[in-house]
Amino acid sequence: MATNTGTSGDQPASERSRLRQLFRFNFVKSLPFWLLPVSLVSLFIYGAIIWNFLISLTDLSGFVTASFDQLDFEMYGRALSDPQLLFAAQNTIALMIVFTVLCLVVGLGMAILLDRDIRHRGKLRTIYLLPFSLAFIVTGQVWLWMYNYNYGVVNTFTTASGLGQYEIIGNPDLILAAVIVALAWQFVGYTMVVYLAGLRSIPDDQFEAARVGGVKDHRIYLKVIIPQLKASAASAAVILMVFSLKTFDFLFAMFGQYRPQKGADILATMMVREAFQKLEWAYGASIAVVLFLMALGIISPYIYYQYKVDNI
Amino acid sequence: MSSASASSRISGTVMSNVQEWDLRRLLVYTVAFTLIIVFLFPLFVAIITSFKTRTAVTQTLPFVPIFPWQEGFTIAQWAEAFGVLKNGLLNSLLRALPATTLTAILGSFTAYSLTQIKWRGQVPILLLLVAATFFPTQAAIVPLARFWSVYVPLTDILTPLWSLPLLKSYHGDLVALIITDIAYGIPIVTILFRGYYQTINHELIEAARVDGADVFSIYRRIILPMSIPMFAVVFIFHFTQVWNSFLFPLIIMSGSGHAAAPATLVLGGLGQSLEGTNYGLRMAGALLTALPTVIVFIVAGDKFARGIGDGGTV
Amino acid sequence: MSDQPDEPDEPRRRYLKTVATTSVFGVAGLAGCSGDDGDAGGDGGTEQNTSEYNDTALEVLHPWTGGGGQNAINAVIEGFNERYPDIETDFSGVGATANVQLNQMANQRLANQNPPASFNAWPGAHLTQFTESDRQLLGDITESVWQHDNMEEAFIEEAKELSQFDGRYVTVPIGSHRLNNLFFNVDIIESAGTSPEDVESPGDLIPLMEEVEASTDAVGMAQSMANANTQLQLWAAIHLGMHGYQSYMDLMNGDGNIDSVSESLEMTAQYAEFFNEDAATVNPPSANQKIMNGEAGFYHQGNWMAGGYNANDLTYEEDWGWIAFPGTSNMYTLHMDAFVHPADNPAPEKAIRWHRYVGSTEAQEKFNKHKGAIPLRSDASMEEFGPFLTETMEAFQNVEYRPPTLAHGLAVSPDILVNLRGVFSDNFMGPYDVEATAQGIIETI
Repeated sequence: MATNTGTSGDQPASERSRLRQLFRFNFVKSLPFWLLPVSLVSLFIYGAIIWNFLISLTDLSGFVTASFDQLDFEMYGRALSDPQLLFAAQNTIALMIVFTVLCLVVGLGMAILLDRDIRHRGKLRTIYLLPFSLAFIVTGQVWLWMYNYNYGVVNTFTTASGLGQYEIIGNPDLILAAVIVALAWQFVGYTMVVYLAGLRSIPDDQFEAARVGGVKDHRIYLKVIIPQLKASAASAAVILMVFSLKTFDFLFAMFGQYRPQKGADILATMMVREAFQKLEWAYGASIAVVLFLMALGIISPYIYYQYKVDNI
Repeated sequence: MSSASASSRISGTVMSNVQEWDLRRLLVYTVAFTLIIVFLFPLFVAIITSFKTRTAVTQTLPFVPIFPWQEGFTIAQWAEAFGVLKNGLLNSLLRALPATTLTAILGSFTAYSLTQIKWRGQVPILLLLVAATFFPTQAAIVPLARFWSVYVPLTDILTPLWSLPLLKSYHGDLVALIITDIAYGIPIVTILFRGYYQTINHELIEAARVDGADVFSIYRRIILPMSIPMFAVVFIFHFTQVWNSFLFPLIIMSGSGHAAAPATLVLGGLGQSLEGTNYGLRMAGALLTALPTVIVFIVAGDKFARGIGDGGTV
Repeated sequence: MSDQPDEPDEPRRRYLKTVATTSVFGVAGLAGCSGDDGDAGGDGGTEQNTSEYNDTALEVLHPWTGGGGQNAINAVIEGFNERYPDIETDFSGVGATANVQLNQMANQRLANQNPPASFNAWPGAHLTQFTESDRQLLGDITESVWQHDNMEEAFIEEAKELSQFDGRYVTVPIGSHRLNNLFFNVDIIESAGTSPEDVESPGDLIPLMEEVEASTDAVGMAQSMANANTQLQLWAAIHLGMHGYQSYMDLMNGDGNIDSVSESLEMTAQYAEFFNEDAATVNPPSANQKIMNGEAGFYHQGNWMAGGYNANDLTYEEDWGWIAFPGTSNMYTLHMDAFVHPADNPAPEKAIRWHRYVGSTEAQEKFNKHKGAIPLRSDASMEEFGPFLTETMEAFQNVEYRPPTLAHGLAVSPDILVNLRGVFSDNFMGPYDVEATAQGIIETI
């Protein structure tokens, strides 16, 4: 392997061409480090997404192999006229908004709580974060038991406090809320950690200065600290929203089947059901494209912003 | 927080500053303690349910534990859950260990080439990786399932391997799963390493370069030793992700009947039989599946937190 | 990405080279069958055919992962291993209600051109998805299995009809359940002072359920609605009971009458007033538990639920009893489980041995007495089957009609079944929208 004496440049070439040479040379040297990983990502993520788009243009279903002779947007037309899809899309958006807002608000409260002078801060953070380390397939089972009509914890409490007994899972009006609560239980700890990372980067003296100036704590948070957490909130929001678009494991675990109870069907579960249960590959692929575009709509402004402020 | 500010406003007029401080402190600890209960309670309920017999599950309150010396206590559910899940747990380990290790190494390589070497095309590659961390997996699973089963059936391609001891033909799908896991892990792991490498002191590397070290020896002599703590963070974070993942095994292995199915996949059908739903068994199975990640988390929760903290802010 | 449908088959095809005859299997099987070495090896004793087998283990997918079903399949596996000690086997249980997981796994494996050697499925209309596909998916086992050792003659007519498509056998049924059973808890029925034997139509059952709720703590009827399939099944039973065999068959054949469908849905909605409160989250076995615990009076399910009573040491006619679903006493709603032989079979010769064994009297007896089902060979002995199953067998032989089950795949093709479940899931899981459901049923079938 050549050493970098060549790049340190003893020839009086122009600065630009020297730089270009350096780049080219470094490009070759960097290849062994990124070529394989980036190829894997290109093939399995980008390649698959493009292939998926192509499949969505066919009419592939059942047991045959795809024919790419005739490509059209028929599946998207079918999607637009499918009442189940519109229903699932509504649920997806409701889940996304309520879940994200709930996590952002509660997570902020918890982050501020842990940011204070409190004992066992590290242990508390670990406990609050514990649910996030569990598989959704596990928490789905646990919450199914929590919501059980006869013996579940939730109904034990509502009955004891005189509110009555509820068939939570079977009630189309309650089920989505129940799913959101369970998912938020798992994700507020995560949101809190993202905020804490943001809080760490705010210098303590801002707080001290305001305090010396006689400003009350809650006003310091409101006027000084929280505005500086905008970036943390934005990145947490993006991740929460994208997660809510693709959540499938939890619903699958909770209902033990591809079709969630009425009222809890979202695009992510519908996509897997159409493709892998009904073998409507092309139709499933078109729903996947819709999901992908929704995700792209959420992340593009975010990545553009990050790129502008030079974080990338 | 609104209740906290409301109470402080009242107390400010009535009580002295010292009393206000104490009241607030009480409030903070009360909230902190309530949150502990909120986060641990469902797991607590799952644990005590897993030790109850079927009859006890229906006859006792869900949050009242039964102790070993009491009637209705059993460890049979755990034994049965272990019997059903033991292959799945082994498969999960066989999947998560290589997937995590290789992802960490490749991610570290990529991050190194993106931070410490300057070359044209760096920024597009980085954007490619950043964007890839966000895409919903649903957008790729139809082609992925076809790719591994129809176009690159590893079980057939790797046939000579299956005559080796301990290897069976069904491990072909496990290899497919591991490669998929690696491809989907590289973006986030690269970003985690990149954040770390950006903080490395450049003078050290510059000095090595002046001494004539090439890119490989710089990585081996300087970057790699410095990366050990970050490797721990990435390993713990990504191990948890791979262990918990469910959708890829579902579509690559087609269902829980696959001999190489990881524990998350096997868990689905547990506790359902002609005799009815056995919640104790379900909870024991769920907890058993969660146990490895929970242990990792308890031992190294701070590293896990750091992984998501850094990953969350890209 | 190839447009050539055959190309990806190449690696799988390779297996066939080791097989003496290829013409029975794969695409060539369409043209007819000339292979005749399937007769090698007689019945009884152990067979030695090692030279014909390839290296692939015999992989079989089945849905029985617990209780009586598991005992039943284990007994068959044991018998098979004894008879064919040199065949390496790989049995996978993929369990869930109404074969949901197994069907889906088998479909994916076939779609991915990676079939197992054999898998369990419902025969009849359920298999049309495979037989009507553009790609040949199921292998012809007419000569190699059905004509071997006079098996065809021994099987009952319905089993043969449901196992062949265009004159080619593709599957071997292992047993049959009766689906139009109405179970009850004897204590509850007696303390309510009712006698279900007198019930002649679905409507007649309502006063009995009212009586049960009035005089005991139990609900009138146990039901599981965790999956829409069970609601679909209950409605189908009620429809049969109210409108008879011909109306049901017309409906299954796409000539349904919306008024009669609305009437039977109306009745199902009336039944729903007697359901347990937690119906939406319990699965069928848990609903059955309500009969065992005395939490419910009646329960409609297939006769496999008797396995749950046996497992809990409950005595037939003392603790639990049954009648044919009201209005269907002259019918046996036919349910069947069968093992299917995929084309491009990874272990064709081993699969043939397996399917022959499934069709043998030995396997049929071993399986069904554990499973609580009845054998499909007329020469099977019912000696060890107990009173309940013997009654079921007698009913099977003596009833006037044997309508195929709707909810378990014999009557309509799988895409129709999935869509019907969707109709029920959307409109008939409480609140009950009779009009929309009736409309949906007529449009779907």
